[in-house]
Amino acid sequence: MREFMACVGKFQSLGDMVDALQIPCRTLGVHHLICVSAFGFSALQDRKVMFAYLDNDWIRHYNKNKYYIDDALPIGALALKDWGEPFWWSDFLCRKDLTKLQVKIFREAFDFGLKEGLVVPIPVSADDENQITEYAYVSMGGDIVKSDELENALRLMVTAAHGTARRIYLRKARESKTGLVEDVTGISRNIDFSGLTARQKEVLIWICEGEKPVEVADRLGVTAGVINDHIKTVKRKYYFSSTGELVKALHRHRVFL
Amino acid sequence: MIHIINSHNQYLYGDILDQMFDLRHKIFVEEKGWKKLERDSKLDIDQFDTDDTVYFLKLDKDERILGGMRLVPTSCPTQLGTIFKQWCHFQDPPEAANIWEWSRYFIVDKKYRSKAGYPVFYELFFSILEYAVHKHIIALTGFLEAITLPRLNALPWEIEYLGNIVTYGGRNGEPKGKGAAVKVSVDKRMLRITKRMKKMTKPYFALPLGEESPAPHRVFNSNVCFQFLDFMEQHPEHIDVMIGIATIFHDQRQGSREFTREEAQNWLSNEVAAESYRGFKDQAFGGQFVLPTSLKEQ
Repeated sequence: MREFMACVGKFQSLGDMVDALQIPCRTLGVHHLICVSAFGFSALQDRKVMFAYLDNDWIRHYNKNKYYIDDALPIGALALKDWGEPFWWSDFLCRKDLTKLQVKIFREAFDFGLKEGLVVPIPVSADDENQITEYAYVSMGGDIVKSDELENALRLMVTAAHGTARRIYLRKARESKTGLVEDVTGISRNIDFSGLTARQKEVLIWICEGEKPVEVADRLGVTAGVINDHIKTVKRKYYFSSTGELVKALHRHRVFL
Repeated sequence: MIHIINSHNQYLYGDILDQMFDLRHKIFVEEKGWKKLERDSKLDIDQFDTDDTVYFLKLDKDERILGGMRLVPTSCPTQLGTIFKQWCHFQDPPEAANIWEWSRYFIVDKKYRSKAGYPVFYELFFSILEYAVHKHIIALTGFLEAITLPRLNALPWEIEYLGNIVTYGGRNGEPKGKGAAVKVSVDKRMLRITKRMKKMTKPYFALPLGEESPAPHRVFNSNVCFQFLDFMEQHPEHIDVMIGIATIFHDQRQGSREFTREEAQNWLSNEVAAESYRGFKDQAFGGQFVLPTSLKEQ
């Protein structure tokens, strides 16, 4: 840990930083770690994962079963609206409002070796009224046992790592022509559709319902060309090559539920 | 506005420092429950409140203290170097004349906003950064609450963690909390970018003349404030000259925003001129003062 903390501010690439972070974290028993920028960090645009090293067996199982839709941890981490303290998975599991599926996800994670975990909220900035304007969190798990010392060590390392990752992303955003940062994590993107305009949402609701652009045009009293332009704009904004992909993503992220 | 108080000008501040020690006792002992700091005198004065300590106090127009902080050079005994030394797991706490430690940060009124719209903690933090840059301090150390550490990630600061996060207190009714020792590098660029990020464009320093200030409610450019401080450090015998100059400046510049750096340097760097016109304070206060030709030519 001392070695990592001595050089954490000096890394120039995420890969190098994650490689170095893994050493103390794995020594402490953490073999699955993911840092998610939840909101407010514009350099990442629609991508949310900032850095990670994943337990591949677990993540394959997780993706195959689409657990990302119901997983209680991201939902819980995102629900924090204050300058939240870290919380342990086992404490979270004691909550009574978890669904059976959410409990099942925890149980299966345990079977995959993620016996305990920690979520560290990283409220990065706030406005004058102390309302948080940028927020990230790190969720990590493994063969670990809840303890104050472990919480302190992991909390410090991931907070420092987040700071370095943020600087790297900002540098990359400045260097790129588009102001967007390329996906350097190799992890499938998580899309923030909050940037859709009211009109775009209106159009996409009907498209997601299975209507064709001509039918939507009739409903909204405009030409089909206008509807197609709206769809093209959204696809360009979120980097979709086809309308089918866009509709799938909207469903996956439950945008209109 | 922010008042910088050190051993050279504290006599100009009457009982403000005592009020601060009293307030610190109320906040840290009576409100937060730090029994170890309890004193019979009800004044929170510890071994780090010495002649080398510099205090940064935010006072409102009625001279009420709204917040404060202190800086101590690490060449002197500091908290991290003594009582919290065991919390510096990764490296020894620095000991150098150009590395200072901040401590005893407190805010009385979190909702207060200055005329320029700045909250108290903005003015306090920027004042220590400006002071550090002016004094060629290369780094600041301190013990930060764990919950504030993520905030550092949003700032263009070079941060070194001196130790792991530690859990403190929790015994004998003392508050339990977590924090870590950090070192923050300071330079002009860091100050410039941070000021731009936080939109700190307006001045927020008071003349460090305490009760003798002819313009107690006016804010001044940091350069002017630091020129006054430097001159008082170098020529404590010429305090009346300082007050006189401040008065002339105030009288002649009513309505203008600030004294320029060049003007301040002209006025304050010329010891001979300053010494030659000792005693003009009475004339100036009497409204009879005429700017001497030799000073005009400076």
